[in-house]
Amino acid sequence: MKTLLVEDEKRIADFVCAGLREQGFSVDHCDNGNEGYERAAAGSYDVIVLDIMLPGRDGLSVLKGLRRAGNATPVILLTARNELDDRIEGLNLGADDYLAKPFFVEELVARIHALVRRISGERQNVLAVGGLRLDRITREVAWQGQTVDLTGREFNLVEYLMRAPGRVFTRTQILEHVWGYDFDPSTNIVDVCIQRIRKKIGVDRDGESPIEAVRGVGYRFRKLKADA
Amino acid sequence: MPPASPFQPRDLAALAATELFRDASAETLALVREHASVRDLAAGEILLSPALPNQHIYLLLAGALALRFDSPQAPEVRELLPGVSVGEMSIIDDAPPSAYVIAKVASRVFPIHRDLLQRLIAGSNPVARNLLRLMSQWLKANTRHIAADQNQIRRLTATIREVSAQGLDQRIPTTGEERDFAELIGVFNEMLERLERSFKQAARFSGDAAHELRTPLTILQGRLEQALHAVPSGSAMQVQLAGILDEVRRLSSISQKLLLLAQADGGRLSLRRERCDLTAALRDLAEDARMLAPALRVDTAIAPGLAVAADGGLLRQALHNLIGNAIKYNLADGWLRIDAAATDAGIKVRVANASLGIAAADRALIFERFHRTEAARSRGIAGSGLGLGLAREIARAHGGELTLDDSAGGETVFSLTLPSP
Ligand SMILES: Nc1ncnc2c1ncn2[C@@H]1O[C@H](COP(=O)(O)OP(=O)(O)O)[C@@H](O)[C@H]1O
Ligand SMILES: [Mg+2]
Repeated sequence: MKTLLVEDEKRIADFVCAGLREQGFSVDHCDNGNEGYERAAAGSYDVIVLDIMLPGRDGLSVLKGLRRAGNATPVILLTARNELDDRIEGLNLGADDYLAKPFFVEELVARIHALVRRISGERQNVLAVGGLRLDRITREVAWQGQTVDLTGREFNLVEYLMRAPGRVFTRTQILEHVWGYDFDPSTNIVDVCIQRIRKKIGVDRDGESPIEAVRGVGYRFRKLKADA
Repeated sequence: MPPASPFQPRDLAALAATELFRDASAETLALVREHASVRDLAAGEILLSPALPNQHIYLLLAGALALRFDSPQAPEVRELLPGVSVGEMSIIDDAPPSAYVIAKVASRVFPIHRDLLQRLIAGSNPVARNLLRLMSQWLKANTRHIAADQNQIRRLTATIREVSAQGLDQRIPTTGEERDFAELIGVFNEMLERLERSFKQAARFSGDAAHELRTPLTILQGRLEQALHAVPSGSAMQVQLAGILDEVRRLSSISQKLLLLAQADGGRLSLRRERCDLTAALRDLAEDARMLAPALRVDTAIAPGLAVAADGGLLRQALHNLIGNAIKYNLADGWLRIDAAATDAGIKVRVANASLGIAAADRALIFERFHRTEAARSRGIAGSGLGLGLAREIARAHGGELTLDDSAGGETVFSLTLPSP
């Protein structure tokens, strides 16, 4: 996936670039709005991640310019609430998503995937790993051919883990993605929700659940043995 | 020579010409003179100063109030007689319940002892009659005046209430009906001014602090996340990193709340309004409550299809704060109830829970930033004391309100009202 990151704070750009590349994105970065606009207008990116406060043209002006020029590349704005004053309400610029700082790169990745999927007409609706099959549109879940009834939270949690089998997600990353608002990080809601999912899904022939706990850290979706 | 009498023949003539002393006999005037003294004014004495054209008569009620009767444009008594002033009760504090009238002739003040007044009254002296007539006139005029004052005060109160609801940048107009209270209004406006200044400073400070913290927090969180995914899964290092990441999240969350509160104080909590499915949000939250607190009975009566035009993120945050509290401050094996319905007054969400109750003294304070009840602290329940304040700001920014309702003992009820879309 070709991504353009426009962010002036080098230390933020560093970890975002590294994180996106680690997850298989190809990333171009520039640190000011003028260059950002040039590149965005010229290049063919799948997605643009745009900071708002930038030297040169600010993020909103870049976005407005692109849309006015008929460029419809999906844009995720990196923003803080107070930077989004009436200007944005008034402009209604057509950003496709917003992500507030501080954010998890993991969340950015999830948002980019969701966005691109939405824009490309939901081609990848079905997610299947191991014996678990998940339909993002109908929100139906099946484990080894058997229908499993998951609540909204449970579905979103499983989907999040399944996106990257073998990768550990911390409780706070999960909280952020599934629940969104500030939970006290000491809450045990993630653990409770995971237990319920595990109970509903059950285990495979080897007696193992597709969702594994990583003690003291969080959870991951079991990687297929063949992939390991 | 006896001390100079305050009365001079000229004064007597003036006295006789006033309403009070009209018809007074020479004898009476002599009595008045006999009892008159500038110096010995004490509680229970009557001070008369009939003078034309501006005649002032004051009735001071011991221990409580000083009432002026006669011409409403009277200058202050304290100008007339240093050391004695209307309303300064220290002078008559330990007096027997009594009254004295302060009156003035030209610039001079004469006390008349109550014995004299009694004698005048007892003897049906025309002076006493005049005095009673004056007093009843005064009472009539002044009860009207007081009634008018009360209306004005009511209006003023309404204005003040409106002003404080709309924000500290409001001022009360000093023109129009309220002009009689110009001084009071002036003082109030000054106070608003000072409050606004210091609030803005405080708000700007925490807003700036939160703003300044954002970049370092973003970097910190991003680096930690990066490190976390770089170390071996389940390693001691990863456990540590996950722990630090939690703390960073906690910090961001407080900083975010402060930023929102600062914005609310500055009246610029920016809302990203969209159509929100309140029913779905509440059902999710009820599901969360059941997960978080399996020992509690969670009941809901959430009307289907409730929608509001709101900032979804903020609204969920406010509801989450309320329901989170209802769980945290519940009793063991207690209950929690979420009701939501459309009413004439808007959409109403009611969150009730079993609790030890909130002490009367705390009721007014729990919406204050950082205020946590002693009960909450002593039970060791985690919290920052920002939740309710923020929830209320969010409600108000949406044109709604959040209140702590009166409730039976053993339960706590909060009501959130939002305008119907
Ligand atoms: N549902 C409730 N039942 C009983 N007490 C409550 C409830 N909600 C809030 N309180 C009291 O009000 C205080 C302030 O609440 P809040 O602003 O949410 O801060 P926090 O929960 O972080 O202490 C709490 O410390 C608690 O004592
Ligand atoms: Mg920037």
